[in-house]
Amino acid sequence: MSNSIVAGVDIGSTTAKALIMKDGEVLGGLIGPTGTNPALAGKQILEKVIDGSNHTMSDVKYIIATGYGRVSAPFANKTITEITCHGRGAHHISPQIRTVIDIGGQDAKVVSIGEDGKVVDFVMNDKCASGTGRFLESAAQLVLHVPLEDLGELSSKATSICKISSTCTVFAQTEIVSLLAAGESKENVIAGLHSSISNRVIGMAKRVGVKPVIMMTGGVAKNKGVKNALERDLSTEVIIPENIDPQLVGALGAALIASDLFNNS
Amino acid sequence: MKQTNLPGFERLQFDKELKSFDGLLSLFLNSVDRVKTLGKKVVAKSPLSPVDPIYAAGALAYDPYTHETLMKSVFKEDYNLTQEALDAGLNSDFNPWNLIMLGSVFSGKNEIPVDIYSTACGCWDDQIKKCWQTMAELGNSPFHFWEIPRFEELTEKWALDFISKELEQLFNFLSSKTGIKVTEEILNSAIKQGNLIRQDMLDLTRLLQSSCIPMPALEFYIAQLLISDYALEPEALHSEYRKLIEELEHRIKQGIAAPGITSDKPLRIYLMGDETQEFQLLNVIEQYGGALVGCDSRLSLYYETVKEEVPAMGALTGWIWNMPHNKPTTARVMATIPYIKQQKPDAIIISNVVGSRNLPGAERLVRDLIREELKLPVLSIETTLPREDIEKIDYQVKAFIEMNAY
Amino acid sequence: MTETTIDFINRDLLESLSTRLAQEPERITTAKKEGKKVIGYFCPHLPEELILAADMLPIRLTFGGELEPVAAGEDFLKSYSCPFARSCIGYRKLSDNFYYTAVDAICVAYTCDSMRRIQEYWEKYFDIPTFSLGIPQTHDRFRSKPHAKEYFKNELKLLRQKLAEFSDKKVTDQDIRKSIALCNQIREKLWILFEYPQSMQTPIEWRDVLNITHAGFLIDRTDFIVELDQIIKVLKRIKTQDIPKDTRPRIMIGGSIIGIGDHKILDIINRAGANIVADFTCTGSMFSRKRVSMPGIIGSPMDGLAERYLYNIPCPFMTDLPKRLNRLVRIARDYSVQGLVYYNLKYCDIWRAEFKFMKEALYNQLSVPSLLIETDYSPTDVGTIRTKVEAFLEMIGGQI
Repeated sequence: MSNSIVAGVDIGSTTAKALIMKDGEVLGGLIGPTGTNPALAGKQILEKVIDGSNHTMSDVKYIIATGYGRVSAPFANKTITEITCHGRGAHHISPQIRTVIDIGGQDAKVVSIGEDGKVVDFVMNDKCASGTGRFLESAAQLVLHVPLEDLGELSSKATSICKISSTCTVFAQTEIVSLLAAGESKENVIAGLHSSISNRVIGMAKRVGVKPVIMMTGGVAKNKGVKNALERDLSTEVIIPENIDPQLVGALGAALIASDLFNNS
Repeated sequence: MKQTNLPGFERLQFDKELKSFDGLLSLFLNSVDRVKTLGKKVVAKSPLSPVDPIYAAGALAYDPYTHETLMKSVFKEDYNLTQEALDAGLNSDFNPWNLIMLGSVFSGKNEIPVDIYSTACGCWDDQIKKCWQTMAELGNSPFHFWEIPRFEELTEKWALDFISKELEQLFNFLSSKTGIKVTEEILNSAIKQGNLIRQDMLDLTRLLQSSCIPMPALEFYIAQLLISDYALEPEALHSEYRKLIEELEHRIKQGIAAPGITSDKPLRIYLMGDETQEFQLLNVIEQYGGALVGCDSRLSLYYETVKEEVPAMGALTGWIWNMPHNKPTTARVMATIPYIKQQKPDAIIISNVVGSRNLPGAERLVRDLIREELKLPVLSIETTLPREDIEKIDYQVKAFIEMNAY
Repeated sequence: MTETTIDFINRDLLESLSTRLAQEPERITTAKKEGKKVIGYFCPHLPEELILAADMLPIRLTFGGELEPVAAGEDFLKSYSCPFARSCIGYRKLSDNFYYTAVDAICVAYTCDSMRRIQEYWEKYFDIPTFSLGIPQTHDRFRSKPHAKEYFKNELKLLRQKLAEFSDKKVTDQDIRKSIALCNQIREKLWILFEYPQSMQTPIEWRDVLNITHAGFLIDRTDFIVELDQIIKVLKRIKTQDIPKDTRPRIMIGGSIIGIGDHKILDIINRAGANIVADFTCTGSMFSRKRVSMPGIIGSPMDGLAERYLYNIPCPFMTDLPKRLNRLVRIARDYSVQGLVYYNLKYCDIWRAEFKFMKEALYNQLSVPSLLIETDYSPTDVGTIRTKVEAFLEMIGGQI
């Protein structure tokens, strides 16, 4: 019993995350690429996390898989959607959270949670990539030629927010090329991209209602520029998890649920 | 023009020499102030809903679909309104005219405050009907829908009866809000007033039949859009239309064509389909050697005058029954063809608005009928919001005119 | 390639119906050789009674869920139009769905924009007669517009006349009364079946009742009654108290038309572990609610038809929203619904515009949440929809 640990595995379309817990404490969490084999990626990242702790796979008594690749995780005891997991994870980090904004590589979701961390309502973006990390990534790599990690820093140097009217990722790239050619600075254009994402996500969020306290999770949460844009447009503070990587919130939630289910059995 | 500080006007080429158009446009632009002085109840109606009944009941007709969208989207270029429309339950793939209209109304930024929502529902455009339903529900205003039944000659007897009963109920409803009872006399007088405006538009259109086209495309397009609510002041609108007609007749006498028309023998183009928010289309037509000789987006409001005879109710009912846009597509096109022929067009452009599900759905049928009956070349264009499609429109229209010009 | 069979869940119970359905194309072909005419229609506002009274075979053409006919219909309607409407045209264009090709004429109720286009395109491009029926749309449940019923009655009389001419048969009031009695029987029996899923110990699930209703759109109505009687007989013999309670989350579905063969969303909901127990779609329970009442049966049949077909099928092309909301809440209450999945076909504006009001009504009056799924007949968004449905079920199931 004393060596029992539980695990949450979040297999996204771009990254796979695993987090293990023991007696309510987080032992470790890791992020890796999903690649072309989600099941394998999930298993490997879990094994890696366990290796980094003083445990073995046999200590893992309950695994919850979540995320896009959860269906191909035969090693999991149960699958739960990332919506429920993000809600649970965010609530664990801070019980005041009522709205979770998760902007990942290929999708975006807004989850409204109650006092108990249970999901009250949610909205997910449709097939379109705008409003997700992909929007920023394609602009950063293909047109602006800056590393993704630098976007936040660069946008803080903007002198004004350059309006980007195309909501489509593809057309936005064309627009950015014209803007740069017309003399707009990279910083201003990046600020415009952040503003675009913010608008798109807030538009989605309004469908479930934005109640403070708001937390941002997912890869794009690491981009201060987007955080600032959201705060500006919502006129409220947006919390980014500090003691845990924002991309791990889903896996955290999954591990917490695993813990509940294991303890109840 | 004092309106040049509106951003939308920057990229549109107006005919600076057409002095009388200023008055017409001012009537539209300063309606906010006029409404306050007129002190009557404002009834929001959809673009093709008959106008006269509202004035007969002593209220003001107002078309927010045209007015709000023109002001916000085309003239002020303020597109950040669609969020309120989405909050109200619309989808982002709805007709952008509806999105801007609802966004405008629900964000409280509407140009003119509405007292009553009352529109005719018929065999055209469910989406507009749903918008009126949404605005009425969420706006907490009194509303009354009336309807125009489908057109089929065999059904005329009971259809006319139905229309007149619907009008009676409409008058009762409006009268209960305005305190003015609609008598035969009052209705007759409202019809006469409406007829003046209908005749103005028919005269204006007739001027385009000339081989020397005096009226610029953009100005004609705007002028015929404004008829949908008689600019809240029928006498004023009639007066402005007359001034415009006078100036244009003078041009014809002098052999002066609209300055934007670049060719001596322009390709005469008749515009059909949905009203587009891409007003630059009208400039582009002239720029590449075409000229606008007619447009049918509001034709149903002035296709002919209402018979001025007593009983006024019967005359109005008969006129409503024959409104082209209420007819099934084949009947509508066949009814419209005589009007098109009068304008002697060389080619047709059909405008589709992406998100509109009424006219675009019939476009294939319209195109085939036009080809069969008129044997004219047809260009189909698709637009959404201003500026979004202009590059595509530009080269399509250019190629079309090149292809068909002498 | 279209399969005109229906996937029944309880194959044993519905074997006879399934067999009978498979025979229908052959039977129709034979009937046509003997001079019988087949009339297609789309909307539930079209009284089948008039077709039956004229001694013709009614077929409700509501297949859906397939991409090919949608693509074929795009030649006529635009890509930004209702996929169901596109397939109504596309099926005929492709001519590989027996029923669409078998019809000798169609009746079109003038309901939404899409339906009107269907009439226009069939009329011009498919060379068979089309009979239109006008339906008032602004009347309300308070009957503040009595002339609406008068108008509709006149429209029905005209349709009756046209159908009689087309069939070359004299149609008497008595003929119509007989058809009303027949259709009332079908409605009553379907209603018995639709009521079963109210209980957690139901011997038949909603999805099969939907399938049975769909079969009834296609097969000979007299034979359909025989099948219904047989099914009801079997069900009545089952001791429902012995059935283990179905504790899966109880879902209501609606939000657009659910065509015959359109089971993408139904499958996703079932595979996610939920039980669909009720609906408010016009190809489901809305088709059979309310019979033509007594005055119609013993008095003026046209009056009875006008009454039932005008006031009892609250499609959103009509403007009386509160009526639909009341009905929605009532069904949700009767069936102890825990969540609403609003399956809205892309570009179906009339249903889409009412989602907000329906969601609020259910939540405010019954604390029942709603999930909006906007989709078409393409299979590419199955993954995303599955996540949304699963998250929704986790939400209403009180999670873990």
